[in-house]
Amino acid sequence: MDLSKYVDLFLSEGREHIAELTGALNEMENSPSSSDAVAAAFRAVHSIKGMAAAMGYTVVTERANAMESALDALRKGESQVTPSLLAHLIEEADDLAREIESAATQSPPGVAEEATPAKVEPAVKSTTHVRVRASRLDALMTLVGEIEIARGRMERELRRFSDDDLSSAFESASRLLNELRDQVIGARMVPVGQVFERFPRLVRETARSLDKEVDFTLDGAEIELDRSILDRIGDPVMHLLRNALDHGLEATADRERDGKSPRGRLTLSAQREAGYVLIRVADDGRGIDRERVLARAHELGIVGWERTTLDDVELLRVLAHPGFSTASSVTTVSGRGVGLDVVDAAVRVLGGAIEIKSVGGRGTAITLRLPLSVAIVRALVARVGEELFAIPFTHVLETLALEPPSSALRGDEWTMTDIAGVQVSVVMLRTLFGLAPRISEQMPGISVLARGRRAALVVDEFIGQQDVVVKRYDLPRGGSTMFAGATVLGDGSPALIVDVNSLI
Amino acid sequence: MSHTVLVCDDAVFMRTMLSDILQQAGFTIVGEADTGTKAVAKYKELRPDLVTMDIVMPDMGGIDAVREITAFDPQARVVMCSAMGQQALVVDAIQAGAKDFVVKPFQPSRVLEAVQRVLG
Repeated sequence: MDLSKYVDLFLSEGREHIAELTGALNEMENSPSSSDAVAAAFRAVHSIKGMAAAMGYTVVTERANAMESALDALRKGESQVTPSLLAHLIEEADDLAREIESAATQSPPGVAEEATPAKVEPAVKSTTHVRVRASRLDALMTLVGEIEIARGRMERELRRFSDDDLSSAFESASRLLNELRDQVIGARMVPVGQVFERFPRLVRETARSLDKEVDFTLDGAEIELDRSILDRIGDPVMHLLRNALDHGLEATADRERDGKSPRGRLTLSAQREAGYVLIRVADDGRGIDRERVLARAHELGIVGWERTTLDDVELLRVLAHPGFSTASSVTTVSGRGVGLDVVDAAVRVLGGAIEIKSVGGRGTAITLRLPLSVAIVRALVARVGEELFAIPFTHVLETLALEPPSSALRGDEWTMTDIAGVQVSVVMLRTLFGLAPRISEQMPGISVLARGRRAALVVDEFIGQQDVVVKRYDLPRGGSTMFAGATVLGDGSPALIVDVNSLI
Repeated sequence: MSHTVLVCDDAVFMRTMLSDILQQAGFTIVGEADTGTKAVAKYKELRPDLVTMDIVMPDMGGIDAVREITAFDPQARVVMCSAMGQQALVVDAIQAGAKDFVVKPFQPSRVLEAVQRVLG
């Protein structure tokens, strides 16, 4: 079917619906209780969705669909018009309008591949946004990474000269490169709302099928994250939401018996914190049954019998233990344990980490700590044996000189050390990498924190710190999971990136 | 003689596309309606062989319109056109008297198949 003849009609009617939508949203702002306004807004996006789907404009369709879900919830009285929701909808409407224009003005698929890049015509109104293929952004990021490597190499070479002019020229090129990198990273950022918008509907439908009453809140939809990370956390987050609904929140009758509000509360939030984005799924349900989890962990030998309680950190370690939750006898009682190992693995691949907080009878919160950008990480480079390894700063607390106990100098095991009055376990990377242990009186150590636990990694020598470009590689099946990827250092030598999570 | 069709959808775009598909297959479009109320009035006036009905329309929704049309003419042949995600409503529509449904985005072949079957 030749769709091209419908493009003009799509555009003109799409604009009309956008006008209706905007009008209805304004009306909602003035009188939040107006069900007519909500219904009109819903119809407008619904029509746009149908038209866009018919034209095969998937971006418009998905965006309209997400808005439709939000408006549908309002229409059915499942959620309330709040100023933040309204602000979000208005913003969405603007984006939808832009998507409609660009979908209709772009050449049909296939021809677009050869579209002239970045032809800037100041006379055209809507040059504030340009559609760029995601693969092009990926290519830019890769190039920036390669330039970073070249810069590192240049920096090393320059040390052989002591030329002020040369140094200052290098400095300014270097500063510009930093700026370029930040801009490219920025261009790859998209609001988490783009992926999270489908969750209100999912939560509603899941809650309905479980016959539970839930108030779902979505916070921080505007927080931005690298597209490639965002693409990969949709499923893990969905998993956490399902778990919270299924296992975390109690049945209505049970909640009433416990003196809680009959409606469960479930919150999905995103927030920026330093160089990270925290994605949190929190419920006010029954919390994780630590005793049951502990009992099962004892049975499986994940936790020694001497442990009689599990703190949050231990709890996470047990729940994320591969295969822990596949034991069917646990799935119904473990609260949030179901498949947490899968979520944990997905987050680790992205260079992130999971945190968990659970209070019996009060609820559970699981937080995914994600780097803003996956492609480049700041890392500490260290030598172990003949090889160089990069340890991402995500986990590094400090570097220090460790004093091994005298027994270790005699060749005994060295398992614990004292850092600022705290006993932490010692991980000898030499031993781990299959090299003969070499212990001297002062050992270069790295204090790390992963999964809420501290440890001291012992290396042979610190080389320095630098931004490394993470090159993912597919692990051979059954291969070592100690590494999260590989990188190329300034001098062109390869280094493996240590996955600190796996060492602790 | 070709069959007559009344196309009901609040979007001109959808009506145009549906009309094109049906006309190319030899149907005669005798009327269009963009609200449920108009759909019912037009049906009574035109008595078409077939009605295509959108579900979400202003003033009166498609399901109520089907209910009124079948109350007026139990033999009325109505095909619902629903968007994705409205499968639940399709059941209501069938109970209200619709004979078949197609899901947007339309596959011309699927539209014609449903229409042909309903006209039997």
